Amino acid sequence: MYKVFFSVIALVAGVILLSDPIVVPLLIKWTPLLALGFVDNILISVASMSIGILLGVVLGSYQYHKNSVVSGSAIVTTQFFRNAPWIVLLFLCSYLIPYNINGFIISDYVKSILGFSLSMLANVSEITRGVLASIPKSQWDGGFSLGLKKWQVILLIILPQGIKRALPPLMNIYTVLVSSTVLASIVGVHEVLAITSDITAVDDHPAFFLPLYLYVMTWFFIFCYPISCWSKKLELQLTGAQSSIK
Amino acid sequence: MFYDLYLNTGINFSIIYDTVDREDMINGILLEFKLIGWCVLLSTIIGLVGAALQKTRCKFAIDLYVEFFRNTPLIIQLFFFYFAVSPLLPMTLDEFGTMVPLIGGFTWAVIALSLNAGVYNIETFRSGIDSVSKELIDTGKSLGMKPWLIFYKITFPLAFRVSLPALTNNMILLIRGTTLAYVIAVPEILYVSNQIWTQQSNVPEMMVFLLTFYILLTSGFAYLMRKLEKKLSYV
Repeated sequence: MYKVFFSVIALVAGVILLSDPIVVPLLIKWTPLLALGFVDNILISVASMSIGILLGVVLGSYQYHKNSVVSGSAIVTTQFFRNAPWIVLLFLCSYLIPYNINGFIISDYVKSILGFSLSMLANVSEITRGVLASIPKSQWDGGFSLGLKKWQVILLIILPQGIKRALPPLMNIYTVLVSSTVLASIVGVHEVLAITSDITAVDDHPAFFLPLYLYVMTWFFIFCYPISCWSKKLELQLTGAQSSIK
Repeated sequence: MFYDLYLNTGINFSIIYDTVDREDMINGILLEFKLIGWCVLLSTIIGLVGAALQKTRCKFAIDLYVEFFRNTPLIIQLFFFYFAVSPLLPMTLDEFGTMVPLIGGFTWAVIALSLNAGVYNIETFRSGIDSVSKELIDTGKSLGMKPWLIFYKITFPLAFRVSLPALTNNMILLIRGTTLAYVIAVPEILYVSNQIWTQQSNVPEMMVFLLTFYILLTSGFAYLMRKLEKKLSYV
């Protein structure tokens, strides 16, 4: 795993160093600005992940509601937002939410967060459904037979087991989200890709574009790759633990 | 009828009554299907070749490719090919005598999307190939079959069936990804919609249309793949 990580960085560094000599000073010049944009990306991803988890867990639990109308509409909502392309949802939020509601201003930044939360909510809902399905029914019955109330069973028995199982897929979907936050540049958020496009307009050397885009991609790689490795490791631990119980 | 609807209620489905918009939209939908077709074909080939190469000495190179394309944004990959690689290639003359890049936006979209989706297919096919039992391959060897014949006759048919459900998932991801061709000005359905709602300012109607289109497309594709799965299964 370390081998892949450092090899990719070494390859990109090699390409940058071997290309035109103007490239390195230009990259150093623009790094602070790019870093500002990248922080925006991370903030957007964290915000929409939080909203997505909060609402998605609720929606996911409603997929198991006793009332078939409630569970049916929860399933339909989940599938609808899960299958819609992210960028269409982003357009949906950025065009259909008014900019100014009674003097309360909703900026593009907030709208993009809402757009991403819509698809995160659906994905988290689906993960929650899967996790709830994977927890044996006897765990619920065991809790109830101890005289625990429903919220106590959820809090003390289901949640601790559920979090462990939900963590790997959640981390996976988070890396996808971080990669997708660059879409926000299309609806007018000034994040790392928008800044990159601006830079290509300012320093217009054809030889500079290739190293620049590679450089920005590597930032995402450095951020996402450890997370996806970690999630793979957790998943292996989980399957190992489960098979040892059997 | 839809023009009356517009006049009476203001609900403006201009893609149905307006000839120009309709034609644009039909072209956009056709292009979308063309894009999806090429990407599905190429990404499957990349997946197969990559999965086969993972068993050889090239494993590390494939790992690098997989991890890099998996952990970087698809849209920056598109930008990378369209804005960074394309200017480095020579220019050619088109039929009107103007200078155009050697490879246009559509082709770059196909290349980038296929490379990206191919990564997921490699993983899928690899797990499919791993699921084929070793005895079957040994049987093939004992019959004197060459490695490629074993792959073609034994490993691939079995592995393909196992990896088909995951492949469906990848393809749906790919279909959703084709919307991103919008950013490099490939006139597919989202691009056309954007132009139409800029002219007619009918964003809600176009949104309803777009979302319905994608839901129908993905669920239709999933349905077809499930049919294929049933057809291929032994029972």
